[in-house]
Amino acid sequence: MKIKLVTGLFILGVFMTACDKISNPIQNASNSVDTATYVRKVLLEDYTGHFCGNCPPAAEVASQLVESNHGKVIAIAVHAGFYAKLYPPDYVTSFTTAVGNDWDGTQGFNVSGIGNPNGMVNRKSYGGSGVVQKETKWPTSVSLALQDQYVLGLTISKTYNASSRILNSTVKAKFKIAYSNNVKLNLVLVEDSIISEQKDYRKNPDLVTNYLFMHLLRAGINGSWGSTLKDAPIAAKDSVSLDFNNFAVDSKFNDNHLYLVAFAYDASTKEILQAEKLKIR
Amino acid sequence: MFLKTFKSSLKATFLVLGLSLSFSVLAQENPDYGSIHGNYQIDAQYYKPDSLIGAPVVPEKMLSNAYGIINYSRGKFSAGVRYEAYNNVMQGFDTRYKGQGITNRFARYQDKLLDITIGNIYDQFGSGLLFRTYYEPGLLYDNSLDGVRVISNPYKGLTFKGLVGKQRSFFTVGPGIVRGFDGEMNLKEMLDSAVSSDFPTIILGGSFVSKYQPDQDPNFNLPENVGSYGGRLNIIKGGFNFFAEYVYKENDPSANNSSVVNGKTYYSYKFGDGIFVSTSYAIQGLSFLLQVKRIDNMSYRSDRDATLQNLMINYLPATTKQHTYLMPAFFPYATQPAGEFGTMGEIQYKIKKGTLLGGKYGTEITLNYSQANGLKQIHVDDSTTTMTLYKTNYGEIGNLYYHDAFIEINKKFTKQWKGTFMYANQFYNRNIVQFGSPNAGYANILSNIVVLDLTYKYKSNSSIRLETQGFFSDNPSNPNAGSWLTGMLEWSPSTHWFVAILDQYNYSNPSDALQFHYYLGTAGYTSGPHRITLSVGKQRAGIFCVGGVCRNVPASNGVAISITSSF
Repeated sequence: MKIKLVTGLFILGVFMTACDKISNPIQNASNSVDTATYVRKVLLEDYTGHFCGNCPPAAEVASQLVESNHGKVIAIAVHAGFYAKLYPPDYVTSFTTAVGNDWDGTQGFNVSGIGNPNGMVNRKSYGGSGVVQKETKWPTSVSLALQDQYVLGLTISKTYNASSRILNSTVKAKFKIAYSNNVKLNLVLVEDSIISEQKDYRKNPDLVTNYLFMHLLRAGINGSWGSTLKDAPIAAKDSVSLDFNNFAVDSKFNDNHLYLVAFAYDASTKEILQAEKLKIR
Repeated sequence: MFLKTFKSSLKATFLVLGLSLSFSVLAQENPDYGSIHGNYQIDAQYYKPDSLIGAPVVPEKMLSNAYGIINYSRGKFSAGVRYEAYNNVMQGFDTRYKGQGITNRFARYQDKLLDITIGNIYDQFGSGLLFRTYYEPGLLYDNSLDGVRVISNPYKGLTFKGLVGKQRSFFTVGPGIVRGFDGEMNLKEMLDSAVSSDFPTIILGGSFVSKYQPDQDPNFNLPENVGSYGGRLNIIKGGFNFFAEYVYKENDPSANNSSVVNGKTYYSYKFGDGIFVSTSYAIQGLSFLLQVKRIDNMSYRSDRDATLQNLMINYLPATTKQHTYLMPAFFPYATQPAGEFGTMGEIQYKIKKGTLLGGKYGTEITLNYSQANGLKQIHVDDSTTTMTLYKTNYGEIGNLYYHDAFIEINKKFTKQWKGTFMYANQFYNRNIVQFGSPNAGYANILSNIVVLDLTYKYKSNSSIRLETQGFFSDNPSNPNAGSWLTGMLEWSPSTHWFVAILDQYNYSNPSDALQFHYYLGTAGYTSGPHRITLSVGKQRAGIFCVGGVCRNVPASNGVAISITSSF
C-alpha cells in the first residue's frame, strides 16, 4: 500500500517540475544575418474583409513581417467570405476576386469558414497547428519558413504599356535541387495603398473611412490554381520559362501601386516553394 | 398475388427475426461473448439559397453530419470506436470537420488494483477548471485526450489518476502534450467504521495539469511547459452540498491573451486563476442553489495559437441558466475565459397539493437570477520587461456582460391540462459575448421574455401542445433586431408520431424588409430505438450554446432529415 502511495507522490513530483516560469519574455534581437545566396522567400496570405472588425491588427502583423524581413516576406491580403461582402450603406467597395474566393472556398483552404482573421504561411503547417493560422502564429511560422530548404528560384520580367494597360509577363524558374512532385506556378496582381472603408473594433466608432489597405489581391493572371511549371521528375538545374501575354489591367486599379506576385507550389502538398514580386511600372 | 406477397413478407419477417436474434444474442450481458452496444446519428440537410433571410448558396446543395459509436465490453475489459463522416459538414459548424474516418478508439482494462485506458480518453478533474475532455455531437465539440490514463485506488476512499496524451483536433491531434495528475480523498470512506454514519461526506481533491509545446517564436521566450494546479473540497450532508475549487495557472502567453499594437504582438505573461463555489440545499418541496465563479486569464489550450472551441484543456463551468425554450435562449451567454465574475442563485418551491395556490396537483415555482460581469483590468506598464500587461483585484468587478432573472411556474390543472409559464428579463452585452470586443459597435440588448406552454392530453398517449413566446426588446442591430413572436403547435397522436409547426416572426425589425416569418414544419416517427425526424422550412441565424460554449449558425432554408438509432 505504502509503495503505491509513494509511487503516486513520485508521479506528482515529476509533474510538478513541468512548468516554466518566464521572467524575461522578450528575446534579445539575434544578430544572425542570413548570408545564403539562395533566399527562399515566404508568401504570407492574410484572409480578411472590410467588415471584419478584428482584422486590422492581423493586417498590421503582416505589414510588420514584410518590413522586418527586408524583402524576404511577400504578403497578400485576400478579401473573401462573409466579412468581405458588401454591407451598404458604409461598406460598398468590393475587394473580392474570383481567385481569392476560390482559395478561400470549401474546395480551397476554407479560411473564412474557420473564421477571420486567419492566414497561411507558404500554405504549410508549422508546428502542427494546421495550415490556416491565427496572426499570433505568423511570426513563428515565417521564421521557420525562412529556414526551409531552397528548391527553386523565380525571376519575373514584364513589359507594360501604360496607355493601353496591357501587361506581358515572363516568369523564369530554375531548380536548385531535384524535386519529386509536380510544381505549379501562380501569377497574381497585387495593389498597395488603397484607401477605403474598414471596420476596426479598436476604434470608436468602428467605421474607419480612410483605412489604408496594403498588398491587396486584385486579380489572377493564370487562374486560381495556376499553370504547370514543371512536372516530376525534376532534376537539379532544370529551368523553365513561362509567358503570360496580353493581360488587360483593369482601369480601376492604380498601376503605380500594382505589382506582380509569382509563386511556385507543390501540386500535391500545395506548399509554396518560392515567391517573387515585381512592380509593373 | 396474395400468396406471393405473403411469402415475401414471411421471408422478410424471418430475415428481420434472424437479424434481431443475432443482435439480441450479442446485446445481452453474455459472460462468454461480452456485449456490444452503440448508437448512430445521421443528419442531412438540403439547402436552398434565400438571399432575403441571408441563407447562403451551398455549392454541395446537400450537407450531412453522421457518426456511429460501437462499444464492446466483456468483464473487466471494454473497448470502443467512433466513426464520423462530414460530407461536407453542415452549415454553422467548423469547416475543418471535412471527410470521414475513425476519430475515437479506446481500450480499457479495469480491476481492483488498476484501471488502465489507452486511446481517446474522456475525463474530468473536479469541476473541470483545470482539465475536462468531453464530446458534444450537437456542437461538434470533442477535445478527447489521445493517450493513456491510469487510475488507482491504493486505499479505500483514495483515488489517484494520471494521464498523458495529445488532444483531438478535427481529424488529427493538436501539437501540445497534456499531462495531468489528480488525487482525491473521500474521508468518510477512508475512516469507514471509525466514524458514525451521520458523519458528513467530505471529499478533498488536488490536481496538477501541465502542457508542453515547443517555442519557436522569433521574438518571445514562450514557456514551453505551462503548469497549473488546484485544490477542491466537497462536503455533502443530507440535502446540503458544498463544493469549492481554486485553480492557478502559470504564465501562459497565447492567442487568447494577446493583443496587437502597431503590428507588434503583445502576449500577457500574467498568471491565471479561477475559483468556483457551489452550495445547494434541498428539503422536501424546496431547494436552494447558490453559485459564484471568478476566472481570470483561464483560457488553457494545448496549442497556444488555437482559437474558438479548439484544443481546450479545461472547462469553465457556466453560472447562468441554459434555457430550452427558444426565446429565452435567443441570446445565450458564453463563459468569458479572459475574465469573468459570475453568480447564480435559484430557489425552487413546490406548493403542496390541496392548498389554495397548489390546487389539486400542486404547483412548482422556480426563481432564478444570474449575472456575469467582466473583471476590472488595471493596466501594468511592463510591456518591455515582464509583460504581464494587466492585473486584477479581487473585489473589483468590471462591466456587466449578462443578467437573467426569471420565474417559471409549472402547473397541472386537470388530468388533461397542464402548463408552464415563464417570464424572464435579460441583459446581453453583445459586443463582448458575441464579438469579443467592447467596441464592436453593437447595442446592448435588454429584453423581456414571456413563455406560455399548454399541453392538452386528450387520450392516454395523445396530446396537443401549444407554445407561445414573446421576445420584446428595442435591439437596433441586425441580424435578429427588434422583437419577436413565436408560436408552435405540436400534435402527438400516438407515442410513435408527432407533427409540429413553428413560426418565428421578427415583427418589429426596424427594417421593414427584414420582418420575416420563419416557418418550420417538423414530423417525427419514433419506434423502439429509432427516431426519424423530417423538417421543412426556414431557420434564422443564431447562436447555439452548450455549457457556455457557443457557435454561430447562419440562416438556412431547406429540408432536413435526422435519424438516430441505438442498440
